[in-house]
Amino acid sequence: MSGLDALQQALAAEHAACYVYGVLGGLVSRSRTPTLADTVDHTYGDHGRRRDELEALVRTRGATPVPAAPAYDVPRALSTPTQLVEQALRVERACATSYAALVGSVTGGTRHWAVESLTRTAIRQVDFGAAPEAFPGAPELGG
Amino acid sequence: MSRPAPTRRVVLTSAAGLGLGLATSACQLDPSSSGAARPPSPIAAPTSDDLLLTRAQHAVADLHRTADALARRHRDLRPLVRLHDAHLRALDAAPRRRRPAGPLPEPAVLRAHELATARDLTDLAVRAQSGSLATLFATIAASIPMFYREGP
Repeated sequence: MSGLDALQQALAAEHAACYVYGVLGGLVSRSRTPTLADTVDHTYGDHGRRRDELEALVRTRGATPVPAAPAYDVPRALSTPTQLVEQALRVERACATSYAALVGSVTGGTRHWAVESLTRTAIRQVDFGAAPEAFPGAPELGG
Repeated sequence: MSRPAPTRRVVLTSAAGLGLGLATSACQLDPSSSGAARPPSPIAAPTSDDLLLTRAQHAVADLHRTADALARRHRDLRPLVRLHDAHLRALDAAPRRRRPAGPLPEPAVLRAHELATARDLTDLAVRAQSGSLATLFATIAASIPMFYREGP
């Protein structure tokens, strides 16, 4: 995969993340699950920053950033905190996969940025209750 | 989303030719193996990725040895030992079974050492010529702050 393709793929994952966290933010109960609500808010902001940075990285390569889709497929059954967390984890794992691929497709400062992004999304998985993994974003490396 | 999923064996054999180069050269230096008086071939110099891989192997083996020794008193470190077991397998490195010399550090000291090593592995990932090797280093680097829930 070319560096530009990997950047666009990561950007597409971040567009989806922003959409899904926007939905989750409207569904999470601030009174019953304030910690989860704060985590969703904070994560939404972080994904927005990563999306903006990815758009800038694509533009510096003379390309047009992939746009966000009008809507993304979000399960209808998102009424319990457990369901919200499972959806958040799906988003974080998708982002981790795209960042692990980006690491191997770019070099220099962009690669450093990709490793940092991979690390942030790995930590967020634990924030949402996942167990630490040996190879976040690339479990196939475990053999 | 589809992308190539290299196994750890593919990652290491494509990135590091040192072991094969040395084995070939040793055979060529053994007079009984050829029967002819050929001049020995020069030993293949390790590539920059070979050197990075060696550094990563040593760094993770050190972490594993200390964490393994500490985990006998601090059970909460056992998952970290299992992570490093997987890291060593992926790096094709053997664990060091000898206990670290001197007194064991406190868990907080190990934590600082682990996170510093994660930063070193990030640096190795940035310097790697092979994208697959960079991904391997990066995912190992990310797993350490993932365990400690402490960001870069």
